Amino acid sequence: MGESEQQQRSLTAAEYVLGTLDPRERSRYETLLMHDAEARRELAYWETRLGELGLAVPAAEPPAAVWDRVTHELGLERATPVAPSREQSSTHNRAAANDNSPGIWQGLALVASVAALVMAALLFTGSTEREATPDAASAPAYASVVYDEPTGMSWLVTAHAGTDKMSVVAMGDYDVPEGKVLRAWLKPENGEPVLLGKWPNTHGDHEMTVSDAAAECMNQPAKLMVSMEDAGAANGASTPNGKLMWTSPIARRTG
Amino acid sequence: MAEREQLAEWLSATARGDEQAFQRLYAATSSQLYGLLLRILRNPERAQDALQDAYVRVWQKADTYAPERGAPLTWLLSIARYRALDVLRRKRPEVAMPEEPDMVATLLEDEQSLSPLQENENQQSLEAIQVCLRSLQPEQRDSVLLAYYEGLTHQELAERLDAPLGTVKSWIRRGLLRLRECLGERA
Repeated sequence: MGESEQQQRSLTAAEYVLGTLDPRERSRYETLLMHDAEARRELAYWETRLGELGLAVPAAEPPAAVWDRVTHELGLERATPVAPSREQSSTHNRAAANDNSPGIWQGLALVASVAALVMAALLFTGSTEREATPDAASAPAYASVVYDEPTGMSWLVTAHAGTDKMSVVAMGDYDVPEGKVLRAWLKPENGEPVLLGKWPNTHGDHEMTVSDAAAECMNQPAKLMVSMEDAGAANGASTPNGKLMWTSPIARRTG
Repeated sequence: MAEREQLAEWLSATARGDEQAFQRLYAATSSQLYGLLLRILRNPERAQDALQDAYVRVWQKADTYAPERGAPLTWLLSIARYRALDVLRRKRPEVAMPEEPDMVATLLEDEQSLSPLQENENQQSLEAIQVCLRSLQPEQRDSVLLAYYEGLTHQELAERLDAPLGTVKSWIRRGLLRLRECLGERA
């Protein structure tokens, strides 16, 4: 290959990165990139070198909502909030909890607080210590923390694979209006909520029975959700109809 | 651990679907990308849209990053800039022209413009391109920098610099060739 052809290749790559190619040239170059490794190498060279110019621009903190939008678009759980956005995320969380729209169950991406995840980690640690046998210790374990920010009330949830029991420790009393009841659901990442059962609102240790359908949900990425339902509604209702109160990711430990 | 290695590690973990690593990557780099997007798009709403698109791309394409392709941050900046160019191409008639054409050139001379996070890590690589840009003729350098920082097309550059289209194309091409040569000499 002659030098001029090399130069031409390099120039086209550089102008592609700069954005000065016209639409036809750009399209032709993108086709070339699909089957020409040398062109891709040259493109990478210019992306890196010209990309360094971006370092000269002063940084600017984006609004917290951008991260929310990214995770929402990707359908991610958002294990921890971005530090500068914690306050706004909490606001978003509360707003979502007060939304009665059925659509809220779709693609909902709420934040678990850092404290909640730390607590979940502690729950795991505790459960590992309790499990004496190698078999039990290696079985998947699940933990979640449901937290009501306005009152500071929280529930610690743990479960182990191979059992049909879920432990719920309520750290206080939560007022439920007369004629209403709290119900817990498991919401798989790509599926409809599955009823877990009545959610305890009084201080102390509680045990819930995990149905086969609910256990199936826990084997995949899922969230724990609690809704406020009419007490008269059938226990076997397949979807939540009342107000969504809290959502929490379920941490899973394997091995 | 050096900043670059840390970012590379988070990128690698992001490629494996590690959401926490992705969140950390975002927390560490989004302000730099947003700064660049604001500079190019000059509109916070569009910059935020482009930032969102950029990180969605990062999540989807993290596995295509390879350390030999350069520092993770410059790779991320490239992704963000491509998103900005897409926005400009869609919205071009509405883009307002900045009033200070010399502002672009002075960016590279302002040593205080680097964010503290990136300063040590990237000072050296930025220095190389700064030195090489200074070796270009002024009109070549201005053309390249205006294209980079404002996403101007040849035609827009010609209008901005009040020069014939062919001349501007030539400035860009000669400037880029000289830049390539100079960067090669410094490698």
